[in-house]
Amino acid sequence: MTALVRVYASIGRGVGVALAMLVWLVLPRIAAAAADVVPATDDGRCLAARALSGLTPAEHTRLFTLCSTRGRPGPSDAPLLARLAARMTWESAALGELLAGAAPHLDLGPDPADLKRLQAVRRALREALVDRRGLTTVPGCKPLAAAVDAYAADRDAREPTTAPFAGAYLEDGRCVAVDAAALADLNILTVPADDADALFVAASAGDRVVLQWFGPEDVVVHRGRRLFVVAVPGWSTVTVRATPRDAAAAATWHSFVIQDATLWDRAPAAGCLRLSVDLDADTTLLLDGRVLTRGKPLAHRTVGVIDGAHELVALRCAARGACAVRFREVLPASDRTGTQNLCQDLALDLHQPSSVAVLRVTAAPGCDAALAWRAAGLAADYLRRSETATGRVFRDLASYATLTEALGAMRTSLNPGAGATVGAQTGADSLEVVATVAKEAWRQGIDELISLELRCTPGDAADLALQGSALSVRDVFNRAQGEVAGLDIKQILRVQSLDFRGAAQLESTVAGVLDQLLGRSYLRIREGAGVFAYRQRARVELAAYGHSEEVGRPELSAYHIAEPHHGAPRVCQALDRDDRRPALSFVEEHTRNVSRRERIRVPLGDELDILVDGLEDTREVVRTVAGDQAAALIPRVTVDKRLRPAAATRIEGSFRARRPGTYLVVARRRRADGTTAIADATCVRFDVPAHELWASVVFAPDLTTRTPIRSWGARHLRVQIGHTWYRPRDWLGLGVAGGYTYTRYVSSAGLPSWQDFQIDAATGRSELDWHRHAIVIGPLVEVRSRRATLPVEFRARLAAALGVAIIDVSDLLGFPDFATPAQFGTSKLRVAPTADLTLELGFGYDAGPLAVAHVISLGAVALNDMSSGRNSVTAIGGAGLFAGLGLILGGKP
Amino acid sequence: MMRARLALLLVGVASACAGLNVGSDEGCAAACAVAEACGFLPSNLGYDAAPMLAVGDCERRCRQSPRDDPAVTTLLSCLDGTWEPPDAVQVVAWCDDLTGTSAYVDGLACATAATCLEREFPGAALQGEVALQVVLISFTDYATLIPETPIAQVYADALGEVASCSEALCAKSECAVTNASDDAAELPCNDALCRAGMYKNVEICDELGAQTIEVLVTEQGRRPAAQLLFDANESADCDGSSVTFDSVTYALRPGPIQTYARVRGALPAEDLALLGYVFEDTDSGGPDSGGPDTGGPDTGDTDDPPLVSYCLQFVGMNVTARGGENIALVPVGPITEVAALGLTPQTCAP
Repeated sequence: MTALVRVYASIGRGVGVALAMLVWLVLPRIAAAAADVVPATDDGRCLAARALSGLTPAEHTRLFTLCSTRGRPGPSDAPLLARLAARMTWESAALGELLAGAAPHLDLGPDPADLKRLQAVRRALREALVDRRGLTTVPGCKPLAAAVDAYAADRDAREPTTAPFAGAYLEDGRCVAVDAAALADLNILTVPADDADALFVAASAGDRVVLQWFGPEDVVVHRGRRLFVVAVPGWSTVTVRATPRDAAAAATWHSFVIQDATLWDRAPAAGCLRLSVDLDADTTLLLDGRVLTRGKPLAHRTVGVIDGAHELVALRCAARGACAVRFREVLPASDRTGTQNLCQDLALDLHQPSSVAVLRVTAAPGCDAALAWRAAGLAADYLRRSETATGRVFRDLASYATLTEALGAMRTSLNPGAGATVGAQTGADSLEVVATVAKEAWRQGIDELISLELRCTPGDAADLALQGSALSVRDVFNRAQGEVAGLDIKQILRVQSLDFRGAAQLESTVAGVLDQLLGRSYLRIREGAGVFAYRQRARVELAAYGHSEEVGRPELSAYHIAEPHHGAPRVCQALDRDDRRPALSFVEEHTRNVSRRERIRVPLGDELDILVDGLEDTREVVRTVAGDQAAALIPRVTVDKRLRPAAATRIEGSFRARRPGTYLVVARRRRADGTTAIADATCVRFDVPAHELWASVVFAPDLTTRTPIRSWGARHLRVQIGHTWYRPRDWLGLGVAGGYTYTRYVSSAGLPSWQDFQIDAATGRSELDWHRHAIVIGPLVEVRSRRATLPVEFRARLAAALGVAIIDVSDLLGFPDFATPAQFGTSKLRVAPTADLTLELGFGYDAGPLAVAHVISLGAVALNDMSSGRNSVTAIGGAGLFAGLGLILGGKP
Repeated sequence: MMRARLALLLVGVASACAGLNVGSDEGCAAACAVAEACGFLPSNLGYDAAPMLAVGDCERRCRQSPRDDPAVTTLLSCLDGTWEPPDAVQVVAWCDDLTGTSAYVDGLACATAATCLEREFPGAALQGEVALQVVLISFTDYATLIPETPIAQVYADALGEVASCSEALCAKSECAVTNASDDAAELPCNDALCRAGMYKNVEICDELGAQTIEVLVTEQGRRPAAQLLFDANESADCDGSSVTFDSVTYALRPGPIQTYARVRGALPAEDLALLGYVFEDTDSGGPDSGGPDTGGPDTGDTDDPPLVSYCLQFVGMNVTARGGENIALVPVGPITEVAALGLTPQTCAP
């Protein structure tokens, strides 16, 4: 007995290990169903054959054929059926439906004697227990009847039961006509049939498989109790499915049977699922192999289920008849027992065959989390906008209420730089994590999961990179896998990265990374400065991805489309909108109508690689996720540049505008056949400052200053500030200027004319010296050559000014006529109005934020004095002409 | 709009031309020539440290004088002869020699200009500052230096209204300019002294028994100005022979000037008798009356002839003074020489 226990224990450990291995292997291998042709006559009963996991297409086909033709399996089917019958899932129970043509008994095994014995026992049991109509009528059956009564009493009392149909009551052959030898390799199962009308039992023992169907005619009735008595091979994996009379949920029992046993001593707990399923018309959803719906969405459909694990499988059958598993999920038993008779809500979106979701966007340590948050929004927007172009429907994970822990773990595992690693340290396996997450994503109807990580260089806010990882959930399910190797993660996880400079380029970078992850070539104008000073060289940065020999060489052109200050042209407004496709069509149309003269070819520089090697990064991710051991399983990849699918490059171009205004910059691909296609476009504006605040200083020496008296020396200085508005024409400015002017006069010959007759004649020849200060203000008009093709900007400015002059005659007190009569109680100062007119001609250029101009200033001062000769020969007469050199510094305030 | 701007610009330019071209050349050369000829320079009409260059300054100022200034037009009219004197004003020609038409005309023009300037610009220094050095000189020297004007002619010219048709003698500074430039013809003055070099001072105090010697300068239409050259009561030295009259002190103006030397003293009666000097008992006589001195003969020393107080006026040169330095000579000498020359000095109250 002890030895037997040890054997049992040893076997139990072995079975446990085997089961664990099986779980380990099966779990990640949520394998794809074969793509077969669905016969036109199929009513859905046999679809379970395609929902079985882990079968080859041929095996799927064989099972389907057996089902649909109600054929009887032959010996060659034994291994397949044995494998299926050994499963402790609905798949073993489903054999009852699939192989109904073999009912009521199918026994395929290597030893025909075993088959005969089991059939003999089944027949004997039926004859003794069913056909005689009661145990009590046969004297030899009294012990068995007593055992059944005890079993019933214990069951009613919810006490542990003892199998009544056991060797001890049958071996004597008095009740059932079998001998002990026949029962030696068999175990008898006592199955309550309170509500059941049908019973299916599958047993698998090594290469042998036994399938038995029982109907109402097989029910043993004893004192009103209904029982099924089933003999199964010993040491076999047994699945029992009891189908109730009311067609409610079937109860399934699985166990490895090594002795006589009783089933369902207590009525199995029941629960319910409230299913809300959205699916396409060609999709069929099965629960434990039974069709729940075929192409019709379910809204809160309540489905009763018996306690235990259940599996949902969605099959998608194409129009041509190809079927494939679209979705598979095992609902653990605990999910429903914990509901305490409350239905578990289950929402499934099986709608779109190809969809994508952003799992998470994170910022690496030290990076701007807000930028990552913004990238998440941009990624969602881009994927949503580009559904048609990418062929993938965007699924917003944030909108799903049933986000699971598995997804959370996946976030971490797919972003090795974002936080703690998973793997050996956490007890999880990367493949398990991936598979679990894939399952969850699959369940949510998501084919591809994308995660983004923002990386940065500490201390350099402009040195950023966005790395994207894409997990192909579809590949997880569809890929044929080896039993041991499991998932080849490097093939299902794609990594792409783009460098970018600053937050401004985030949008195009997000789009670029997503395009790369989705395998889409692109030529995109990256964000940059959109407004330039019109003499500045505009820099345009392109990001390109894809083989140029296939998608064409990049070209860049600029078109002058609007004068400055005219607002954004319609084409630019269109480009600002989210959906760029109509805008690009508009651009195409617009550029056709622009004359060749308005077109500027923008030379492009060298292509600079901005793609971080995705394969290298993949290895890094794997190592981080799975640890060294897992990484060791993944073969190292030799990066061959020639084999790289494409390269993301940055190309810079720059151009100078011929004249101010808005330019449409268009990026094209020129294909080998000479045709071009617009890839992207943007608008840049070459602005003339709408207004300018400036300051000027002009000095005119004696040599170039002309006064009414030729012999006078005069030096003129003008210091002014002004404000000029260049509206509505950029070349025409109107403004106002004011400032201070100073003129120093010297008359070395003394009095200039016949005046001051009373003074001493000699005094009249002494040198006269006086000063004129004036405050002036007035309007101006300015013309500028706004041509960027000229090396400098030519300008002419005409300004008029009115003001008040204060003449310092403190050195002229001895010359009353020349100094003119005293005013306002002061003998040293005189006040006079002044009207000036200046014309400044010169050229200018930009020096950083300043506009510098060198001018020759031609001016007439005190125009009001020019009509009076008497004033002109006095100190208060300021009339004069000057030609001076000036410097103007201006800038946009 | 553009037209309006252009018009505004043209108006500005036109105004600039008018206002920046003050004055005119017209008439300036003539006006300043008149001023120079009349000796109004250097003055506020034109000045230069070198008087000869004052005309240039005059023309400069003239050219730059705005014609819209009434003072300028008046001034020009003064100098160009267009000025019309009021009826009440009688202009007396500086030169009364009707035989010399040119000099008379010039003198009349200068007289008119001077009158104009005085009336129109009262108090203005437009006629130049005149400095007249009056030098007493012996009859002999005078005759040598100024041979063209005999002494008798000098005495004859002194009669009547002051007028002159002769320039004053050049001053040393002018002589220096003349010598340097060797351009004597352009001198506005008589260069007699320039050619003669230094003249000898006359010392006649003792010979004339002079108590005082006064030098008088009489301008046209004005009272004479006098300056004491010698006063025996204050100094016994009689070595000075010249005095200078200027515009600041004596308000001299360019124009004709008559010079005199008034000598008061005492001489023997017989000496005075040579001149027909008439003695009177009373001192009511004066130079103009020609009457005898009221002092009568001195009877203090019977051996010596009695001395009689007298007052005689020696007539000097009648010249046209001009702005700047001028020299005029007054020939004087002992009574015997006066008598010998047949001159009749004017008498005055002793």
